[in-house]
This record gives sequence, C-alpha cells and structure tokens, in this order.
Amino acid sequence: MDFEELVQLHYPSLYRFALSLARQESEACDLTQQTFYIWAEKQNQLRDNTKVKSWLFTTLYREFLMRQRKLTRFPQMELDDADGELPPVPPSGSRQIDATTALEALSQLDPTFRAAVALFYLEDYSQPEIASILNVPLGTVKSRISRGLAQLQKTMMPGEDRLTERGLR
Amino acid sequence: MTLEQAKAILLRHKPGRPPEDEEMRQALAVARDNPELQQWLEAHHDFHRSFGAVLGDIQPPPDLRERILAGRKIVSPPAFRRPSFIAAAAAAAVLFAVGLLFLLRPPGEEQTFALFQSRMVGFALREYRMDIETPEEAAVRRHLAASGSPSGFPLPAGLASLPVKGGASFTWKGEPVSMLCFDWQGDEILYLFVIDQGSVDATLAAAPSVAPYKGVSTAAWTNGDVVYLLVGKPAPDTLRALL
Repeated sequence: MDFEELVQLHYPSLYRFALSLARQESEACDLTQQTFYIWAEKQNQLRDNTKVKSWLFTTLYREFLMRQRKLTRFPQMELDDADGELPPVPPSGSRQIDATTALEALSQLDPTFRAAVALFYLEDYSQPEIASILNVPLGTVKSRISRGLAQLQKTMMPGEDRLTERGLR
Repeated sequence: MTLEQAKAILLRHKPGRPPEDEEMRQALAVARDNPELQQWLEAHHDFHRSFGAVLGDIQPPPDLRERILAGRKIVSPPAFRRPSFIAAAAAAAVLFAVGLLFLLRPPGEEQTFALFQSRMVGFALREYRMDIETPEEAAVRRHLAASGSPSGFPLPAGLASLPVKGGASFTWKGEPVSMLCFDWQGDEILYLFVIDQGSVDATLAAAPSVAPYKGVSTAAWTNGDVVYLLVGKPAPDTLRALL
C-alpha cells in the first residue's frame, strides 16, 4: 500500500482519535499530520504490515503525550472568556447527542481515561488491542474504560444510574 | 457478583458483541436474571450506539488529506534548521518578553471581579473537574502549592468544618487560581475559588458579600492577600452561616 492509499484509508479515524484527545481542531490536525510524517520516516521499522493501523494510533497517542509533557509553567488549563457569559447549563439528560456535546463530554473525562474511552468508541479494537496501543496492562485498560464510561454516563445521563444495591452474592 | 460489580463490567459491553472474557460472561448472565439490570443495560446500549455513531460521523477538515500528502513530499531539514522552528523560537522569545511585561502590569479593566465571578460560576456549573480528589485538605493544598496557585489561605471555621472532596489549579487571564471543593450534605458541592488580591480588580471587604447569582449563590470576600469566591446551590443564607 503506498503512502497516499494509507492516508486515504486511515486519516479520518486518526483525526477523530486526535480530536477526542486534543479537543481542538488545529491540534488534532497537527497530531494527525505529524503521525503520518513519522510513518513516512519510519515505516521500514514496521515488520508486520497488518499492524499499520494500530501502529499509527500508537504513534499518535505517543505524540499527544509528548506534547502534554511540554506544557509550560502553569500546566493547568486556562479558562478563556468565551464561555464565561453563558448561562449555567446542567448536564444534559436528553437523548439528543451531537458531536459538540459528545466531544465536550469526552473532554470532561479524567485525561487518564479519555484515550481508552475514545478508542473504545471510535474503533473496533478489543480491550487487549487498546491496551497495546496505550502501552498499559489489560487490567488497567479495563479499569480506565469502566471508570471513564461511568464518568461519561454521569455527565450524559444523570438520574439514569439509580439501581438499588441488592447484594446478589 | 454484586449488582454494582456487574454494572461496572457491563459498562464495557458493546451491544451485539460476544463477551470478551469470563467476567463479562458472568455479568451478562446476572443481567439476564435481573430485569432492572437488564433495563439499565438496554439503556446503556442505546447510549453506546448514539454516542459511538455521533463520534464516528465527525469529519476531518476538508483540506487535511492534502496537507498530509503535501507534508510527505517535503524533505525536512533537521528540526533546529527548519524555518518553522526558527520562527517558533523567535516567537517564543517575543512572547516571553510580552509575558514578562504582562505579569508585571497592574490588573486592567479586563480583570474585574465581575468577570472573574462570571467565569468561575460558569466553570463550576458547566466544566467542573478536579485535578485531585481526596478528603485530605493538606494533600489538596500541596497540589495547589506545587502548581504555583494560592495554597496557604485560611478558611472560615464553618467552611473548614466541611468534608473536602478535592481541588484543582488553573489560570484565569494568566493568573493562578485555586479551587477547593467541599461536600455539602452529601448531595451538593461548594466550590471555593481563591486568587491573589493583586490579580483581580476587586473592591471587597473582609465580611463576605453574599447574594444570589445566575441560579446559584455566591459569597465574596478578601483577607487582604487573596480574594475568595464561594459558589454553591444552597441558599445565600446557608452560605452566610458557613462564613
């Protein structure tokens, strides 16, 4: 498969993963471009061509982590003014989900869980594959997905997680 | 397997998929025998399908493919010789100088307390998240200190008696802000935002000013070193009683 075919096949899904991590379109585009650039330089290092897609996702995630480590003196988020005047909006209990709502909900997840939850939704990866991409043990991935989805559910579906504990065993 | 254990496992179940492991198999068996859990699972599957579909429909910018292909054709020089690197280094130097001047300037009109209050309330109600979740106030203060945010501020006795949930450190217009979260009667959260007095243009007294604001209650005061803003859903009189 040549480079152009590879890009055509994988860039949309890579971009979606990048956007779920980076939350900004410009940074997501940068991450996606950089990932293919790295592929162009290092593709000879991949011995098994069936693993190209997971290689690309792993590389994008590593690039994202590297950029996160380079944050400056105040690594905390800066609250810009854009949303400052919006009226308070409680978490939506509505079934109407759009891309903006979905991305906002993902952005509110603990960063540790976000990548695992994004891969869980975006790609047809098994949990062992997600563990390989994120370079963490399988048990850790299961925990991150469960906890991330619990946070997501709490944000998106308030009041719908009220089963009484009955101590089945 | 308890109900909560089954739910934690079933959160990872994708609709229409066979179970990936034995614990998922067991959790599905539990759901089959428990109508309420089954109903919860079906609602969760509906959410899975909607959320996944929406994310999967996100389209990249129309020119991204061409940008990627164009980048492939360029033979890149070493990083430090790339024009983009040199430009970024020059820009960083300029930004550093501007930033230094910015840090030294007195608060401008854009850093009024009204804006600060509005932004903090918006954050608490729409985007709230904690960097550190712990009932140990000392641990939260250590995190705030390590992040360069106010950390040694005293608390009114009533507020100090509440259980701590955690905190966060962030910046507002480049100025460090601390957030300390308290549990209110197991049901609500009270958010305390603290910023250096010199970072916000505020005329406040040592006695808290408490009032309703955009559907919540706020209390604002200063101790001369820092400005405090307490935000929460309880009525103003409830906040006042804590202070």
